[in-house]
Amino acid sequence: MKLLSPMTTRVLTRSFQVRKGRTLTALLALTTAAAVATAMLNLYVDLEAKLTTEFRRVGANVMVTAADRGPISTESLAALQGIVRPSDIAVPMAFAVAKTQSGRPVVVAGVDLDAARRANPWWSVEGSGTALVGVRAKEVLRYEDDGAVLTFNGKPYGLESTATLRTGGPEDSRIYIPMAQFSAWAGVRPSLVELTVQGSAAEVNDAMSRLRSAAPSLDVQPIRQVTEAETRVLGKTKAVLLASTAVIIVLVVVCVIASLTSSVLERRKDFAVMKALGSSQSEVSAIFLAEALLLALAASLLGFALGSGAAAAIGRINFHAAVVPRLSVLPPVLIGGMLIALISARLPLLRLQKIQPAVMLKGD
Amino acid sequence: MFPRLLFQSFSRQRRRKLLAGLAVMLGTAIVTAMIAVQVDIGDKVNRELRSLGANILVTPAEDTLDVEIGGVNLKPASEGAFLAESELPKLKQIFWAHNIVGFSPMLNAEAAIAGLHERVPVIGTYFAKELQTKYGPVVTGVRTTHPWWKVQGEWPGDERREILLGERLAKKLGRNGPGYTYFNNRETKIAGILSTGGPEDDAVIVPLAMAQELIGRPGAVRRLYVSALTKPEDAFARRDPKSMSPEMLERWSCTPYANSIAYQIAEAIPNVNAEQIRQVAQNEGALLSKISGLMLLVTLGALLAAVLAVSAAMATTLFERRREIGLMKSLGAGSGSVATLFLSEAAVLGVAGGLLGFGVGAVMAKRIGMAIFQSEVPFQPILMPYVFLLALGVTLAGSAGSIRRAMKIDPAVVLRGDAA
Repeated sequence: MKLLSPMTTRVLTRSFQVRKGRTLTALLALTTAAAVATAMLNLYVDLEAKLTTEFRRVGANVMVTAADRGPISTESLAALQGIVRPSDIAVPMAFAVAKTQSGRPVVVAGVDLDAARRANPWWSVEGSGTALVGVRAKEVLRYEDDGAVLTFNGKPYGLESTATLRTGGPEDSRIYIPMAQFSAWAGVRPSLVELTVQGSAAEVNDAMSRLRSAAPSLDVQPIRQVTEAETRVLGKTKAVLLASTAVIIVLVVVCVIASLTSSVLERRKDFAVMKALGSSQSEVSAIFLAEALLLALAASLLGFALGSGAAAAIGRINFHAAVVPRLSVLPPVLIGGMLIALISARLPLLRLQKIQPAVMLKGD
Repeated sequence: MFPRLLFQSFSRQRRRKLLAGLAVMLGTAIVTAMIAVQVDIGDKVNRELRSLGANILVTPAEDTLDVEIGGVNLKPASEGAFLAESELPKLKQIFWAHNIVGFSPMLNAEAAIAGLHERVPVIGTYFAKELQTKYGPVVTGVRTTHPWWKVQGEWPGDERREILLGERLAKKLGRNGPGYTYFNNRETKIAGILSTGGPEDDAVIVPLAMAQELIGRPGAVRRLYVSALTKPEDAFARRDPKSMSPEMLERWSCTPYANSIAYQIAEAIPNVNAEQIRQVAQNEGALLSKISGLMLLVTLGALLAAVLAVSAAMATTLFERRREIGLMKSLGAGSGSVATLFLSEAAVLGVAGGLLGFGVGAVMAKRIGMAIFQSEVPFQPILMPYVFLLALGVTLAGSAGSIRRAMKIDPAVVLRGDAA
């Protein structure tokens, strides 16, 4: 093949060796374009995963109740627990309206306290204890004379060590105690399960439909307040990032093409000498294009590495989790790099072909 | 002599200057567009995050404990303390009035409805109520504060006897659209069916005045949901205002933290508790800082890319002119004068390209805002000098490397034509 003849190889190697400065400049330009494209594409692809993880800190996104609003049967609860993945959190809750000693009604909830706090990282808990008492419920208990004893169906439950819970929501008026103690005391089954399902909207929908088919007696509903806000914010953020990505890539590419074109135009004397020494039009073009392609290949690989590094760094700084480099970004970056190189070599060549070597060599 | 050199350089080498100018312009455009978007993204995302709902809850100070399970309050509707509806317009008169996007009062009641034996829960609220305040009318209600409430049919008028049926309740009653029913023993128009995915699906939603009539307490409100634009919380925001010095309290009150807005609301309306709803307020702040942080890093990256792209273009143009530099040097110009000439050229390019790029970038930012948020990214004129200086900085930084190399050129070598 003509491209790989010893002469061509020699022309190419010498070309890079002799004009180091210029080669480096072109390499810099192409690498910048490739690195920017890689970093932005990586960020864009990873954004959804990063933001949905952030959104799960808002709390549960799926609410499960019995279809008749009564207690959830043991079988349904087991079926539900079987479907939930280890990364998801399921918090079954049981409620009873108990009376304090002075006869005031207060809602007591039985719950796995650790799971509930993991699912709702925004709960502000002061102190530590075996029970969480909402800040408003605490106000009421303050009027009790000796220790706090709650009564439900005539059975007493003594609150021992308590921590204070502050949320600004309905939790402030409740008392949360461990589920095992709650069932032994009140004998009421869970009537509600709050589910925190990780993943994209599609994955959450999928989990919901699996739940519905596994336990048909359950009513499985998305918490729309959370899911709709998530969809909106995610969509808008993705769109902004996409628009920025497009603007940055297009502008950098135009800038790179402009400077590369100019550097090829500048070499009209090399072009003329080769033609004067008897090369055909296509041979000369092939050499110029091969040079550009080699450069683009090196620059794309280098830019891919740098850009992946930049995206990973941005992920670590901003989301405290690296953006894992995606190999799927490599082909578009490689092809894009080659295209840029080809365009910026081809355009000036078309112009040079029309000029006689003699005219160029004379210097006019 | 110097001005002439500069002038001639621009008039003789149009193609090269055009290339360098284009590079500077594109670089500035990137920087301008990204900075404009970055500065505004916080505000835009903050508004989107308001779809999470209210972030401040106002309750009567002397209220008895709520007995609420699964969103249904078992406390008798007329028990406990109430807020006064007449105090609500005061929300729009506090210092942070402009940050308050909307508010909705809520009042629980119970009533009979045709087709069911047991009484159904009733929630009275504002839908899109027009209130008169000292500064003119404002429209507020659940349509602003609870954007995930969807109505099939029409929203009731706040002044009319019209109701919404919760989705599950409607199913129980066998109704699937607007119509008429007997509600509290009076013929009442059902304006639409409401779907929220929450406990409201089992209730009847009525204008506030109707609920007040049901429990016989005109002007009463049980609680008030306020949706406000806030600043993400930091360590300073969490401090107790009671322990602050007057200057600190002033600084704290003048920052729109959820806590300081709540504090002001509690001061404006007597005998209330105002507290941030942590589920919304806390997470909103975290999300907001994550998204603006991301855009800031992307902007910095874009800035770096712009410098590199400009520097590549500058290197190319200077590289092509090494003979010229050799000639100047052999005619007696020192490295200093060569550098001055090229820096001045770069500065001229920076100013011209910068101005153009500034315009292009501003237009792009505006387009992005319109396309994505359906509202403009307003370009703050105060940014103009900064962006301009930045553009000049990008150009000079991009040229510095190649100018330094130009200063080192050995005239004899370049003029003989051996140099690479």
